[in-house]
Amino acid sequence: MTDIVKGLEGFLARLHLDVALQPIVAFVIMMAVVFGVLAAALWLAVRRRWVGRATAAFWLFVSPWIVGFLLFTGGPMIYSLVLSFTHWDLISPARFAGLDNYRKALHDPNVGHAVKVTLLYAVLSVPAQTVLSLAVALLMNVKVRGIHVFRTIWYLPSLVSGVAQAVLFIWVFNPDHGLVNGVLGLLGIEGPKWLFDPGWALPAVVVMSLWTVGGNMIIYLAGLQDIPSELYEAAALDGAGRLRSLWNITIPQISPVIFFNVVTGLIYAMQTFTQGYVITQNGGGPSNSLLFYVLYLYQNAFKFFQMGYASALAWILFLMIMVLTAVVFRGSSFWVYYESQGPKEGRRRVRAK
Amino acid sequence: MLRTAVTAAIVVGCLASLAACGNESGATPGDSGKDSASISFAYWGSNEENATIKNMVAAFEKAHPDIDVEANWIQSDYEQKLQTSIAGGDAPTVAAISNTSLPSFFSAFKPVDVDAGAYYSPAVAKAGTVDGTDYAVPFVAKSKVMAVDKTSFTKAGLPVPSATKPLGTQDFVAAAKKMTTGSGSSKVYGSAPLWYDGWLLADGGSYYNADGTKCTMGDAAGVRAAKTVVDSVKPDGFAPTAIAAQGQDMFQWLAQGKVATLPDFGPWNIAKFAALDPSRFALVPMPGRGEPMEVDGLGISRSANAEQTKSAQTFTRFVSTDPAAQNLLASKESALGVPVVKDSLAAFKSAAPQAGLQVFVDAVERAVTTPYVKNKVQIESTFSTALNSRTAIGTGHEDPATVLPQLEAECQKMLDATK
Repeated sequence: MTDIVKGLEGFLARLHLDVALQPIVAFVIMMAVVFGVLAAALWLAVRRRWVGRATAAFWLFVSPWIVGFLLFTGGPMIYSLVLSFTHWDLISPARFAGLDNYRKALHDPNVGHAVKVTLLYAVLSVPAQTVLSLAVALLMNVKVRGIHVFRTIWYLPSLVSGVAQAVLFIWVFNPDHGLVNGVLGLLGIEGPKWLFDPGWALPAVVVMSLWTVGGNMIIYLAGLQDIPSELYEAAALDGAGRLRSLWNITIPQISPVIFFNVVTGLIYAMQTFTQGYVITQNGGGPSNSLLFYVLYLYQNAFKFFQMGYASALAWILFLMIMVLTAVVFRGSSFWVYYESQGPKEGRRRVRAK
Repeated sequence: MLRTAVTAAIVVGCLASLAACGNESGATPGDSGKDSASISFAYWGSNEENATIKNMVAAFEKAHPDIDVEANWIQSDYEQKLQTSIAGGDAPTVAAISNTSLPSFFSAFKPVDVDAGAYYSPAVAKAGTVDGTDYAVPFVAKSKVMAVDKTSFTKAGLPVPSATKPLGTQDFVAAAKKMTTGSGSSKVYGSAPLWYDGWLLADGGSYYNADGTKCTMGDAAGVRAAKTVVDSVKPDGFAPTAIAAQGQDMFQWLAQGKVATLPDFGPWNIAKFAALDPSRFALVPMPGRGEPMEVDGLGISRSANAEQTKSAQTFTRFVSTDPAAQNLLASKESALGVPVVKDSLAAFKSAAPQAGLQVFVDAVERAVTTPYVKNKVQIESTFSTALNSRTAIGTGHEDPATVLPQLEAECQKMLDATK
């Protein structure tokens, strides 16, 4: 592949194309060839009547996604799987390692610690985010003058995420000059060292994660506004109060939305990296208290030059996320209500198995 | 429509085939078929450092108009990007690399000829050596000195440290304690925070023995250095804690009189220092044996072809030893570091004549070389994390005298595992 790219770039150089444009033009040519071959194959298949025109059109239209997935997701995944069975420092040639990397991960105390930190973060942050964003969405679902302004204010913090958010909160949680301890000081409370205390660093990062609940709030708000008002009217006629309506109408009706947010939140939490990286780079997260799994994976890949081991860690993470997601999916039969099925259908389906 | 698309694809495919077949294997973009090949050069640095290196490249292209250098300035995550470019088969022909990172990268570079006699410092001459072979040609030294506020010394009834003779480590500690006054937010510290790795070397210790086969940071010198750093940040200590210093600019603290001394002072601060009042501030040697020195070198990619290698050798030789390049390392606006050849030292010192830059040169000459250790980054990262977590150098509370021998044993285990 490298030779083809270099060959194309060399060819473009001979055409006196600007050096900065050569890589992108080479990429465009390669993509054109890939799609050309695909189109030729489909054209041949249609001519020989192996597939119908509609089927060929379908494959042609979805081909950008398929090619993109194979090149940028599927291909690298398979490559990383192969790498996980090698010792490779990215510089010298890779050496076959068999299952060494997986065995090493089983006995590596840092892996156990990183899994513990990551799971603890997921267990604390996902429910907290779910409850807070749902509560805010319920508040923002009232019809009062200026509600759009409030919704915008709640959503705004979501725009400051990633590194910017981590840097901001390093200052907010600074033990000596930070906002949090400043406010606590006014109340006569001596605040902890937060990100610089092994016991408080992770809770502080969980609090940080609540900064972006505005994003989930929007999704909940969309779900809430989709609930038919007749259900509330009927419940009111039957004498149901607000809490009863919330428990028996609102929650079941938006349970698929909650389910979606819990699953995606769990996956994101398992992949947490930025907070741990930025904070530890700035002297926080002592005693490996913010050694998230992906941070440890990154350290192995790009700091310790152990790409084979890092790839094995990536596949272990993939399996962990798959298992956790499967567990959540399985559990969803008991609490997620879909209008297309009866309220106890899911439960019956589980019991029947 | 489908037919048009297929025809277009076939045409493009033919074009691509022609392109891929018609080019010499291994030629890089920009190769114009001259006698000497064009080369790419990757390096890191701030905006000012980028400007300095670009000037050096321009000087080279002026002296060697037959060789084009495509400068690739990597602003952040340099090593990760260099690493992935090597893994992706797109390594730069020449890459800047520090002596601390070379043990991780040397296998990506060709062995090079380093003329040890061209450099005035033995530490510089050996900076590109890994396991007895030279892999990088040194081109800039980043020695460390100490910036001091002379009035703090005078006020405390202490003599101003000499610009030529280093203070003893214990003399420095005593002076820093004496210069520490006040409390709370108005406290004036005798020193900025001490860096353990630096102080370890200054106080006579080291991570490893001379041949890199034994970890030695748990010996008496290592424990003494750790205790000094721990004591310095106690409530009655002479340096601000890591938390108090977090996000603060220690250079500003020095200029404002909040710290009396600023150890670990690198040459990249020269332009800022030159703006201070020379009657009040001075540069003096780091106490004791001084701190570890970074030397940046130039490695030539293993994937470079014969023509590129020839051009790269010409380039590295020029940047490393030719005064036309070395004279550019420091200016009134910025300083990348100290020149590695004697002929350029006068130009370096003239960048800030009032600042007394000879002290940087002395530090280069006195610098201690560190041995090659495989897996150095992982070993030292693991050690550092544990030391910071368990002792008051970071956020722990354990006694360094207990912790360091344990960490030394752990270090030895990791070191032995690399054999």
